[in-house]
Amino acid sequence: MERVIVSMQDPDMGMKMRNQRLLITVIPHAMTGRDIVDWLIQKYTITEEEALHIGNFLVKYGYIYPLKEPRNLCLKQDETPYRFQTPYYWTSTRWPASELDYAIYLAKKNIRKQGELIEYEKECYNALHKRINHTWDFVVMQAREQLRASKQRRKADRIVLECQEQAYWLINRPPVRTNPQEKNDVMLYMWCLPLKNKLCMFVWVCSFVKYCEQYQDHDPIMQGCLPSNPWITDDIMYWNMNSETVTMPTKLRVERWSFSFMELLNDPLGRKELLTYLEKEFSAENLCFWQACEEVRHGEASKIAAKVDEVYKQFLAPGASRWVNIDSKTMEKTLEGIKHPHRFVLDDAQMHIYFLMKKDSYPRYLKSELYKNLLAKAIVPQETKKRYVQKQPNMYKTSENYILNMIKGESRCLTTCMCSCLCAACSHSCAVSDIQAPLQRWSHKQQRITERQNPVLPRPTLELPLRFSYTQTTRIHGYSASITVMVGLAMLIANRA
Amino acid sequence: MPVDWGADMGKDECKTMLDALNKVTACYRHLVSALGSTSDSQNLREELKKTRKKAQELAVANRTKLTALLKDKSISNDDRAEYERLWVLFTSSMEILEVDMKRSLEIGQSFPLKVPTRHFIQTGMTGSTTTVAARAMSVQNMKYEADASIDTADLKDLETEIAQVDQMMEEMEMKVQVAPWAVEAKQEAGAELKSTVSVGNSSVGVISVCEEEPKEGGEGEAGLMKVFAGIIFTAVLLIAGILGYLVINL
Repeated sequence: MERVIVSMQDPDMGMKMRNQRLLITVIPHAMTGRDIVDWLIQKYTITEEEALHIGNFLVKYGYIYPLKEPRNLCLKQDETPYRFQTPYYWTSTRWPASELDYAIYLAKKNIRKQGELIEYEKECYNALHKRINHTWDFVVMQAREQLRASKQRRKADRIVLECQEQAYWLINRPPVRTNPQEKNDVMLYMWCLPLKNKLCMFVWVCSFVKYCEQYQDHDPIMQGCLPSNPWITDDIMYWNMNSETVTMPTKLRVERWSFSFMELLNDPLGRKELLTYLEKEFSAENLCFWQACEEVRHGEASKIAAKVDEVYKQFLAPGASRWVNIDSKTMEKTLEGIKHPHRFVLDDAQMHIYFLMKKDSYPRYLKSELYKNLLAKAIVPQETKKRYVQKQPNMYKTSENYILNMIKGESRCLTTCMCSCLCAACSHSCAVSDIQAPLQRWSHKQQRITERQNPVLPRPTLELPLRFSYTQTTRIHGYSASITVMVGLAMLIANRA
Repeated sequence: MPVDWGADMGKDECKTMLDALNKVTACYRHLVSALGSTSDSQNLREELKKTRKKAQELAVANRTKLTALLKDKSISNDDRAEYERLWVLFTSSMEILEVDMKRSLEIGQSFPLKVPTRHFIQTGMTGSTTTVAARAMSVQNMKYEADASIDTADLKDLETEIAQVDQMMEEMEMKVQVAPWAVEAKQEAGAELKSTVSVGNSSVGVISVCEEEPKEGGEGEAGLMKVFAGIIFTAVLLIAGILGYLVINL
């Protein structure tokens, strides 16, 4: 795909570039969707559908990103603007997008947006904070430094940089979608297929969805395991309750027997219950025959001949004690095969009996009193109390609380105004000198002020440790700091006079 | 030659050196992301080379200092925890630097400068990266003195430097036994918001107005500005003092 992109850059034969106009800044090198499709059609002499398809790939793999709706990664054949992605962020290089990089990006976004991240980004942020906690200092430091480095560029370039990074991370860490929407998306994708494939896909998708819905309650990861997940709480009650020899099974286990015949047969307890039922119906020999065939299939190779012989004597020989009812054709084939016994000689007979039971005995069992009583008596285990409570880091509350505490000690509005002016001045100068905790020092001063009757005016300029670096920004900060200080003083004098 | 610094002085020195390395790493990443795009040029390649050399010097200095500090068995547990934290900062910085160096090698090889049909990707970035490089090198203005074949010659140097960095990191892991996952970070989630609240606020309104034009002033001009700013500041200081005096006496 890079060759396509590089050939698009050709000044004579390449893409026609336009300018993107954003309020006051003009950023060059934008192109519309229609231009892209037209260029692809013209350069490679392909149909419009193919060109649209290729263009969609270019967008999905991050070589081109949309400017208006960054989350909508598809190529629209109209006036929506797109731009090329810088080679550093190309997917072809296959540099893995590491967690450290993502954490730095989220921290930068956090600073820029003053804590207003989107929901899934907030979750990722918290998760990363837990996972790579040991390098979190580095993340914060690097995020700040990268922002300072990007402030050295022009505004237009800064906007482009932000868009580029956002596009890169939208592709490498796409927002997680919830389940119902996934179903709709699957249906949407199926729309594009030809009819024959559509039908097969449709059938498969429907059965898969039905399977998921049926088993969702039984999935220990999705629904949680009662009483508790042994891998988490070290409590093996779950395994004890679901073991083979338990007297009273759990409700979920009994419900699963009604999903399919195979579920019932695979559970040893289910098989025992079915045997009890069939004995009442006088057709227990079917199940015994099926079990014996299973043993032949999965047993030791040396014992096969002996086992087959036994099966024949017990179930298949004319006048046997537990004769099973198999149709004549299968019976002939089996009897032929028994002369040269091998592992799979009884397969046909077993299959026949299996389908017989499935069609006949299984539905009757599910409707029987035995099953219904068992279902009613089955236990629902209580969920054990969780011993560990996980604390969620409440980072978005700390800054608000801090400011509230500062304002709480106020009694006079005069001191409020003065202190807010001083704090503004202080924060400006601290922005210059990069001091970590200036506001804490000021809150002590403010407490002293409210204690006294006549507050003495502190001299901010002499007490703050300032380091002067003569850049333009410092000057602006200095001027605004001094202006706020003077305004505060003037108000103070006005109140006195 | 290891000098016998006091523990606090050693820590502070380490921190300043790590801050410098951090700054250079961030600037280097910024420069590498501009490779291959329309803001790529001979100057950019030279900036990359200079920044890289500076980063390597800082890295070696940091490594010597930190290994010396960590090998000292007579430090307290708190000190040791602090040094381990600094060590984790250092290794993360080096990881990022190494990845960026490898990426710059790849992109540099795919986008050579002296080719007749040179097609750089039109990414919309048209400004120069001089100011970023100046920030990395801690100088006011960058001087460009490289010749035309810098891109090919530099790539060979780059390969050897990447090998050196790899070797250095391996040695580091062998010599110093620090478990990075056992280190606890000092900053909590959202820490970047606290001290930079003011930076964020003021930058949005103020800086975008002022920094539209990249700084291209001469050196004499900067000196004059210094004096001017000093005069204004003292004047403001005097007025504030006078007003304060009046308040006290009223």
